[in-house]
Amino acid sequence: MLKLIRQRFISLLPLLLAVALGSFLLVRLAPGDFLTEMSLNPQVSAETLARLREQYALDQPWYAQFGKWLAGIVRGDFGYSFAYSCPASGLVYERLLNTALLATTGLVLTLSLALPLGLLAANQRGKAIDRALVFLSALGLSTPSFLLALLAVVFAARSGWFPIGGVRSLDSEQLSATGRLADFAHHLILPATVLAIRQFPGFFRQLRAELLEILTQDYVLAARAKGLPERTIFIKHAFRNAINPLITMLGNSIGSLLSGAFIVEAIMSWPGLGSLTVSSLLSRDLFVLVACLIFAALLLALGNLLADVLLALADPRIRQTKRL
Amino acid sequence: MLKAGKAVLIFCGLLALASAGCGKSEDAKRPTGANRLVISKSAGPRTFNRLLASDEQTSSLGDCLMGRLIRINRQTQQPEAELATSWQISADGTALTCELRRGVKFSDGTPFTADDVAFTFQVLNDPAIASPASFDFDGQPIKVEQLDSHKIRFVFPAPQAAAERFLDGVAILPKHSLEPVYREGKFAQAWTLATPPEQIVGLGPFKLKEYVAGQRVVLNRNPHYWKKDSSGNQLPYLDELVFNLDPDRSTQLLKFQQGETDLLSPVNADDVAALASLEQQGKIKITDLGPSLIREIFWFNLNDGKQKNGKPLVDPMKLVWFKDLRFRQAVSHAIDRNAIANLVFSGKASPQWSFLSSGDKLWFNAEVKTYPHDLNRAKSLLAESGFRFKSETELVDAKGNPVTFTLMTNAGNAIRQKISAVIQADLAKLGIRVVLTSLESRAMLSTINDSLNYEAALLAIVSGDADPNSHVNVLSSNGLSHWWHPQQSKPATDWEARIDDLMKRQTSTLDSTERKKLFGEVQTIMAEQQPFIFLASRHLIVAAKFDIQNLKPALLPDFMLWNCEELRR
Repeated sequence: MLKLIRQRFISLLPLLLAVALGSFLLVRLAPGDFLTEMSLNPQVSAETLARLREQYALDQPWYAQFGKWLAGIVRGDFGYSFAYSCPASGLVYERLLNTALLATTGLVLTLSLALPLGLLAANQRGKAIDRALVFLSALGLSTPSFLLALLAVVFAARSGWFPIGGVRSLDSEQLSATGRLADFAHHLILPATVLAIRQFPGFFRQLRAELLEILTQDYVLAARAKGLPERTIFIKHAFRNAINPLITMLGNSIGSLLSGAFIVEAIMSWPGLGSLTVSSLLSRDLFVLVACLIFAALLLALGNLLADVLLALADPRIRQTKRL
Repeated sequence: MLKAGKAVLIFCGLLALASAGCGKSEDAKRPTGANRLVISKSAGPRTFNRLLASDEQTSSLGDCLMGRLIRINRQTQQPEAELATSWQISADGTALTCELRRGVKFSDGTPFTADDVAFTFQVLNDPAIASPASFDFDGQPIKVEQLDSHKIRFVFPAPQAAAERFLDGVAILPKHSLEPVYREGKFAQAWTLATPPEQIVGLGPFKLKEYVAGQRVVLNRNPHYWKKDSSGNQLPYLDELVFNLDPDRSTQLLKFQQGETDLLSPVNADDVAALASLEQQGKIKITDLGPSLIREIFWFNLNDGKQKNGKPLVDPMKLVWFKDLRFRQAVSHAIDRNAIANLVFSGKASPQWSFLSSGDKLWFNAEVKTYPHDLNRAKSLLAESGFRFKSETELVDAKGNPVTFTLMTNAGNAIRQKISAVIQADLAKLGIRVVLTSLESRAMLSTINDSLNYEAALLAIVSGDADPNSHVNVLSSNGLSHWWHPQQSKPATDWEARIDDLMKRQTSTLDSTERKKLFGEVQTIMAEQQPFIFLASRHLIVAAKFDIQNLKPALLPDFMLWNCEELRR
């Protein structure tokens, strides 16, 4: 197991380097740079722009800038944000925490919905409840997330039960520690639910399909012939075998939660990594963008690693073939 | 199958619990009658150093935190005394002397003197800082002479009209807290968003209370603020001013509808209907300020240079059309500006013919050539230039080439997409085929500013101030924003040379009637020549909760908060 983890960490380095190089190239080769927007301001003179361009090293070729940036990375310096004139890593950490909380809650919510409902649907195959669930999951799958987020915001506004976006209330500082936690949770529910509605169908349909296939297997027939109770067959045999693809999905979904949360973040005023990535891309805030992408790649890689470890833990066959 | 069912039940129970818990914190969340104003902004500030960024958000926040010697009254568009009690321009127009207000203190209690002004200009003039707010006159900086502790003189290399107006953009910095940082060469990193709030020291009505990354900026009253109202009450009236960061427009609208925010500016034309019922109930006030200073324009690329690979920037055959005055005038006549105002802006826009919007009330020249929607006039202009109709739907030039061009605009902007569709349909009636293309906005700007290889572009132009000097970059032939043919080494046409001359003269003319005449002629030329084909200026619409008093919404930014010290509820 440790060997696997070590191997993965070593292979992570070239991956991150490639991500950094790729994003650097893309931003530098795309037309326009951070100062293009400023040139729209009639009060800013061409000389000022030229001076700033020099200050930001945007007048140098991309490889020179990349080399300098790499040298900085070794010292843990991710470069400066042009827009905010502060270290890029600081900006990213702030957002990363928000995103991680949102994504984790969304995932927990997703799984706590998808697992029981998947079991239920497979168990009640073809009956009304199964059809209703399959229909709902198709609906969730086909509703774009911006619409879901907008609906959620409208729902919050109309019902008054939830805040309209944001992470904390204006007066949250005056609340007690538990009050602040409740306030935060209150803000978290709606965006996490929107994410969960988007993620739920994938897990649900995968689990249901997997279960249905397994239930036709010989060993299930054998178990039935042995006279095992249906519940034991379902949970101990079928579910246990159906879980593997779900774990793989889980690993991938961490990445997609991070990138896919952007629209939800923007509409629900949730200051996460997604919105920072997009705004830094649009404003060509080079170092912030690169830092965002590296962190997202890191999280994706860690998510996959986590999935592999979980897979190995869940399935003795994998442990044996890989001799972990 | 019991287990799964149980899990579902438990989960539903959890949800119910969670929402029950929410009901409780709901009451705590509502501001309990605090003397506070909340406004949504689509983005946060970039820094708290007003001199280091030029974007709208940083400026509007900076103007609440920082003091200026002279401020442009957004409503009258005239300068008014702030930290300078009076100012005088020398007879030859090369010097501006300001008498500074006495007894003023920074938000940390330190007295304000001419030293602070001198320090501010030292920073501003420092090429290493490259402040976007810096001013120079033909490459020469403003000289600052400190006459005594409360008197300061600015000396310009040449006579300078409306010299006092540039002081509106110069936030006075506290020498005592920033000079050490400046000496260390770390000025660019001072006063970032991560700086502890108590270190941000200013002369404005408010000071920084907290900045929550990506969520909000909270300001509270500056107890040392100098201004008092006419009955001697200490300003500002508000205890707190909150900028909520809501990137999404619909979220901003919803929050305003729900009363979570107190101001909405600007209101999209499409959203006015959604707010009408609240207005009827007397909960909010909507104000339509008329044509804003944002003018939608499109223009043909008149650059005759070459690309790096030796190919011309614009197809020479097309450049001949674009440079043809009658072609541009015909196109201008073919466009139905009323349709744009109605279709694109739900009627909340006014047709625009000349360089200035009528909202620029001190300088607007109404006596310029207009281009009413007139297809016959357009066709006869084209015929005069040798264009002819090959068939009913195809216009060809004198050499028989079909007339077609590509119109570029920025992607993701619904307004521009709609306008470009109207242009396409209108010009189709002249037999001109318009191909639409949209580019991501930075890519488009870089095409306009640097690579210059495009045929026509659609964009908006915004005035920074209601003064001719703020248009120099656009109107002068060597200007960066002289978009139809930027940064010319010498004027390409006679009329551009004339505009250059007029702009230069108005800058050094101190008599405002004379200046108005000079700038009036610039507008006449711009209307006649149509290097920009002006389309419409959208109305500026703002909305506020009914109980907010002393609002003086205006066309210059910040539309609602420029007089934040006077706002009360």
